[in-house]
Order: sequence, then C-alpha cells, then structure tokens
Amino acid sequence: MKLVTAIIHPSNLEDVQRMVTSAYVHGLTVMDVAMAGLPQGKPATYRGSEYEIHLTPQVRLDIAIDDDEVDRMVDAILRSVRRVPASQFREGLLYITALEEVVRIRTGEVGLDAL
Amino acid sequence: MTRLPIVVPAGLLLMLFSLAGTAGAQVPTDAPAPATPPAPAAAASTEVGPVELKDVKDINAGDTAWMLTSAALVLMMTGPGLALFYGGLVRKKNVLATMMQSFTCMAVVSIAWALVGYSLAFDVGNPFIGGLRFAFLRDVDARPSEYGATIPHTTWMIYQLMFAIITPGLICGAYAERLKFSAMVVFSTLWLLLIYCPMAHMVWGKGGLFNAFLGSPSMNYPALDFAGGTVVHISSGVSALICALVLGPRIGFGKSAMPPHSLVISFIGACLLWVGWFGFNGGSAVASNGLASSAFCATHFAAAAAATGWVVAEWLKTGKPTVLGGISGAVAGLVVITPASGFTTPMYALIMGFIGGVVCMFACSKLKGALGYDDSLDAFGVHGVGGTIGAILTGVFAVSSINGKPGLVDGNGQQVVYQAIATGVTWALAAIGSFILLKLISATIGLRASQSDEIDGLDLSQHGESGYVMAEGEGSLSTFAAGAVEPAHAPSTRPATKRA
Repeated sequence: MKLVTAIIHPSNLEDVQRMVTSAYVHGLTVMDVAMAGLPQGKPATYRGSEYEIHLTPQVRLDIAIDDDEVDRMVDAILRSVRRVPASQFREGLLYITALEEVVRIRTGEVGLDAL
Repeated sequence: MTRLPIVVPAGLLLMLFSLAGTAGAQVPTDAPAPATPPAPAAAASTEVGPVELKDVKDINAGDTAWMLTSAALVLMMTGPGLALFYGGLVRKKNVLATMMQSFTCMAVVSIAWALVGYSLAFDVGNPFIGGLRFAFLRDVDARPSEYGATIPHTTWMIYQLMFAIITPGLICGAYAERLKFSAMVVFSTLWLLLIYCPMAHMVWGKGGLFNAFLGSPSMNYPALDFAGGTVVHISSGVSALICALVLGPRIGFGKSAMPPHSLVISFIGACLLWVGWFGFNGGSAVASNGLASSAFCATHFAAAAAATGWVVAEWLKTGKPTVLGGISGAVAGLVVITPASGFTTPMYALIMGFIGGVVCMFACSKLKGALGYDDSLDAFGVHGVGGTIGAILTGVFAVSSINGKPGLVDGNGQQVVYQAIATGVTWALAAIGSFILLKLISATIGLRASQSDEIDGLDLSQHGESGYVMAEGEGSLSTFAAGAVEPAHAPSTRPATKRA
C-alpha cells in the first residue's frame, strides 16, 4: 500500500476529488494548507504598506491506495490538474510514501480490506 | 482601471448638459417660492408649479427627530446590513470585495446625489425626470419643502439619499464574485442617474407620472408605492437579472456547490436589515405620527409571516427548516410590504408577507434552476420577484382608512391596473437601461474580472487584501522581499527526471 499526498490549488479540488473517489478509492482526507516557496508571491497592501504573501493557500489530499493502482491514479491527477489553463493554478506537489499498515477503526479490518 | 477617474465625472457632466436645456426653463431659480400652501385652484390647471418651500417656523421637532433617525437606520441597512448579508453568502475569497461593493455605494452614490441626483429625482421637471433647480443642493436648506411640510428640506434630501444608496447596492447580489471593481463603480454611478433618479421622480417626485399625491394633473397614473416597491426593489431586482444574464455565470457554476462561507455573518446582516427597514418604511410617513406607526407595524408583521412562510414551504419540500431560508424569507417579506406598508393593515400585511415568502422561495429554488441564470445571491429572486408581488398586491390590499387610498378590497379594482402599469414601466426601464449600460461598459473598460482573477478571488485580485489571514506572520514587507534576502538553497544540479 502507498500513501499519496497531493497538494493542489483549491480550484482543482472538485475535479480531482471526484475523479479519485469515483475511479480509485472510497474515501480520502482533505485539509486546508499553505504552501511556501512558490515562484512568485502575491502583492498585498495593508494601510499603505505593501507586502508580499509567500504562503499560498492550497488543499492537501491524503489518499491510501493499493500498490497496483498508484501509477494510474497519479497520472490521472496530473492530467486533471494540468487541464487548467492558467499556470499558477497548476502548482502543487505529489508525495508517494510506503504505507505499513491501515486499520479501519469501526470494523477493525486491516490492510487492503480496510481500504 | 486607469480610465476610471475620467469616466465617472464625464458621465455626470453628460447628464448635466443633456438635461440643462429641457428642464431648467420651467423652474424659477432666483427668488424662493412664496410660503403659501398649494392653492386648491392649482388642481384645475394642467401646469405643475415648482416645489414649494415653506418657513422654518413650521418645523416640528418630533417629526425631524424621527426622520433623521430613520435616515440613519436606512444607511445602516447598506452598511453593515447588506454588506454582512451578502458578504457571508459569497465564498471566503470574495468577502471583502463584496462588502466593498456595498460600501462603494455609500461613498460614490452620495457624491452623485449631492451634485445632481437629488435634483433629477425631486425637482419638478417633466413627468419622467426632474429638473436641475436643486443641482449642487441649491435651495436645499432648513426650510421645509412640499415633500415634508414639518421637516427641513435637508432632512428629506438626506433621507432620500439613503434609499438611493441601498438600491444599486442590492444589485451586487447578482454580479457578486465576478464583476471587476472599476466596472462596478461606473455601473453603480450611471445606474443611479439613468435609472434610479427617473424612477424616484416618476413615483415620488412632484409632477411625476405615477405620483398619487403630487402628480401632474395632465399626465398621471396614480400608483401606490409607499416606500419603494417599484423604485427600489423592482428596479434593482430586474437590473440584477439583466446583470446575471449579460455577465454569464461564475466559473464552475452548476458544477461546484459554491455554498455561503459564513451564514453567521449573513444572519447578523439580515437582522440589521429587518431593524433598518423600520426606518425605511416607518420613515416614509415623513412624520412621527399614526401613519408612521401603522407602516412600522405592517412592516414587522409582513417580515414575520414571510420568514415563517419560506421556512414552512422549505420544511415541507426538503425536510429541513434552514437558517438561510428564515433570513431570506424575512428579507422577502420586507420587500413585499415596502410599497404597501403605509396603505394596509397588519392583518393584510400578514397575508402579503406569507405569500411573498412562499413565492420567493420557489423563485430562488425552482425558477433560477429552470432558467439557468447565475443570480449569485438571489437579488432577482428576492427583490425582483418580491417587489413585483408587493407592487401588485398593494393595489389589492390598500385600505382607505389607513391613508385615504382604497384598493381592490375596498372596491377600487382600478388601483390594481395602475399598479400593473407602474410595475410594467419599471420592468422596462430597468431592463432596457441596465442592458444598454452593461453593453457600454463592456465595450469600453470591460465588465468581468479576468479568469485567473476570478479564481484567485476578488479580494486579492481587485483590492490586494484578504478577508481572512491564512497563518499569522504570512508575507513580508516588499522592502525585504525585493532581493534583500538571499535564497537559502542553491538550485539543484541533479539531472532532471520528468513524469509525462
């Protein structure tokens, strides 16, 4: 099993979430996060002093998935996000990490059965 | 944005010049009119005299106190009332921009009103629009006018300004989350002068086409509109529909849910609107008397019945009574009772409110879905539909014992016809006028924010601010950002691998 962590622009959440839950897994976890270190900050002002916002609001999706399905799902996420015309909304990262064990709390199921 | 400072004054000047020739001649400009009450003989003439100004000793302290209080209450309806109501209904990336739209009406409309708007609405001109005697607030001083015999003319003028502020503010609900700020400023200013002022003149101005009390004897369809069912709600609601149609839907409309980001904020705003409406309708008696009290009561009962009606209808239809349904229903009821508040009884107000609440609920859920327009915050569904119901029902439920004007229930079916004529003219003026204005703005400075500005949110893209801070300490001052800090890491020299 793998844990896929997708950090994407909030405007892509709708499409990615629908695609992932309809084709790959039953459930996933979504969080509001901020991303630092994107190429350009956004200019903002506060009572005349200008500053740059370096933290960009993003959403983070945690998806636990069977090893065999990881590649196809990651490709599907890339296609979905890259369809957006404006490049700043295509920013983001995918982390793929090995997942040792999963336990479903209500039933006590473990491993793939828990997914 | 750069062309904006030129466009607004240019629009104002255009209005001034185009009207100077038509209306100025009818009005004596130097000497104040003699302080005599309007003679009954004047009714025989087909000419409308100038707006009479009376002596300051006629001022009544109680009336003036109530009217100044009402003016403040009506301003409170726009800011913070409407700003909070609409601000909570949008997504959090647009909260400030939406509040700024209401606030802009408070600022920009006020200037236009003082320069020329008040005169276009309330000077005697022709039956359709006022003249320029009161331009730059000339002759608007402590002397009472015919519009309120016991209050200073300034009090009447500032009270009417608060109506002029909230009316374009209501349209924000239709173009929310996508109209760019510069276009909003130009649209609101020109809309005030080209649509609101003629409407206010026709219904409330001396010699106006629909004025039931001071209308022109030669050309008059006396419609009853106590506090602005046609002038405020139909005109803004229908213009809102046109805005939604011309602008097109928000990106993702019909696909994403776009739920309100804070119903808590909207709730506070709606309750402030309810309270402010006592000044809106109660103050329209232009005195502190039994009629003001009657309008106050009718207003309250209509809001209560409409909130109940909306929630009950929704409860039966979807199984849950919602908070948004309750507050939307209250606003719908207040809209419906606005034209009737000074002509009908509390019992009829309950009936009108209940009808309004149920019908507006279906307009916002069924009608919008069926026709597919994106009226983001239901400005048309509440103000356009509610205003139309209210205007027609005023002709049905007006009772002569309240204000001397009988409706259908008193055997005067003709009043319903007059109400329908006024409603039709308001629909036509608002729809055609708004369409032309929007097309003009679209062809010059453009209407919509760019696609990426809309996705980013109007707060950051239009105003450079965020309503809610993501994390304390985010961002650094530009002086530091501009190269003062070296990047902590060197670019990677590892050969790039790429996933297709």
